[in-house]
Amino acid sequence: MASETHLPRQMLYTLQQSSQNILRSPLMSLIVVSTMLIALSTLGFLLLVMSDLNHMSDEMATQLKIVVFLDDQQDIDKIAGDIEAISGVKQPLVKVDREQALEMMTQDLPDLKEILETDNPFPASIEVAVTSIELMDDVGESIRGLVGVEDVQFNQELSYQLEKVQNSVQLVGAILAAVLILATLAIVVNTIQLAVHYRHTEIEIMRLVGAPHWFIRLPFILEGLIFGLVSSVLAAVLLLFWRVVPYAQLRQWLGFLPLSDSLMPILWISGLLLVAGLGVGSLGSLLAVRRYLRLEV
Amino acid sequence: MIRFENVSKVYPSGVQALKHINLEIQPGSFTFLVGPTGSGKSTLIKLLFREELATEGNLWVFDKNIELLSPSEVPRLRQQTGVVFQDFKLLPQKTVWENVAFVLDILGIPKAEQKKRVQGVLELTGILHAKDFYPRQLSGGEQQRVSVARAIVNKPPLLLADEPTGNLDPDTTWGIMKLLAKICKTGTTVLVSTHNHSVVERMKHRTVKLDTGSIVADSGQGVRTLGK
Repeated sequence: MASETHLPRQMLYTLQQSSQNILRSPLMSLIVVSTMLIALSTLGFLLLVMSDLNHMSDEMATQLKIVVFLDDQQDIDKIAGDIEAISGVKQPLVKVDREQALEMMTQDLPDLKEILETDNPFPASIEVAVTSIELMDDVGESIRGLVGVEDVQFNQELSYQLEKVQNSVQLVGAILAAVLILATLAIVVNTIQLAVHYRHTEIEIMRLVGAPHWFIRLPFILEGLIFGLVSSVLAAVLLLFWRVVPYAQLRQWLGFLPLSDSLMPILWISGLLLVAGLGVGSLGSLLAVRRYLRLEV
Repeated sequence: MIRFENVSKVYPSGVQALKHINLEIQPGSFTFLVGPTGSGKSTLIKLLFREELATEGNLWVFDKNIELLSPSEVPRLRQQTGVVFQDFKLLPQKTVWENVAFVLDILGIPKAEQKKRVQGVLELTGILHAKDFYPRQLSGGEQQRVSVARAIVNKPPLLLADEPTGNLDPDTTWGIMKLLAKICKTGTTVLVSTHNHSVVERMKHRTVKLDTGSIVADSGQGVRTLGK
């Protein structure tokens, strides 16, 4: 009968077609994968640079300390406990009691030792670091409100500047990432369109002999997914290589900068690239085939 | 089987390809569609497998008004309609056998059944000897035989051929026409557009003549044409 259909066999056929098509036109497959690899690697490197810049500014922020001076007769451990309970405070705190303060001062100025030993004028203090630069103000204000705190000092201007730099990096990075994702999609759609055009006769024949639309689209979408998978995995490998070999060397040369040595960013960026690769690959194929199926009336 | 009711087609460019066509074609018949280039033959055939939509009128195929089919219903119409083109439209990277079996793959027909059907149509079309050849290794006439085999492998009740012999020499043309007549004898309705008058005269089948989009003559042999 002319109307016979066998869905599982049709599905199996489309799967076979996808893999055969990739192998049958290796040059076209190579062009698509290389294009996607370049686009995804660029995106990956941008995200990695953003992540590292954020890490650097956070590290610099932790070197910016809030110095908390206590009223005389206050229990330094109790106030340190209150400070630790504030959100955004980085552990451990550096506690300097009155005796330690005196000792530090007399080390620098030994002549004053005798005078000051009888009447120690130096207050106890606690040095507090924050986990993130934008929390500096809030943490400083919270500490100022604690009972027993005489004064809170920190370089507000510098913290503002650092926060500004961090926000700018994030904004520029987000814009660049969005532009790159759109550009990647456009490049991939056009490249896949080339691959689809290469097989337009096949699509035309499939339409003419009554292949359902899903049957025509599915092999191309599967191919797009395979291209996306391969190129995102390769991009992740490139990023990992960069992190483990050239970047490690760079960190040694630039030892004075607080460069991150963590592999965690590679992990989440790779996950993101995989999602972007699969998404862009399948969407690109879908858009490219649509052009030919739009002729359908 | 096929009924055109006051069908007209105007392309977006403004060209009027068909004007108020009224025509009926009976099941199992063989009909020639003749006329000069630009007379509307190809458009009329394209309307029958919904490659184009009429701008006016109703077109009934297999007792269904195909103008009203949704896009998802179009594949089913095409599965019941074999189409042969002047340029063969074969896949160059597939062998003769694979080109024909491709249709059955699309429909998910089991391999054992495919083998039986493909073997049968290649025998019928006289091209079984070249089953492992690629299209580029065949002559024009052989390629058209493959194209016919592909069109009928799903046993469609309707076979449309748009200038199937336009690129072929007279001897090969005659061979292809005889093949189409043989297919018609198995009960398939065949509609062939051509401007090869000698073949049309020799075969003595119903002939519908188009000129500038209108039917100007209909031999009406064994069938009736609706009033214009």
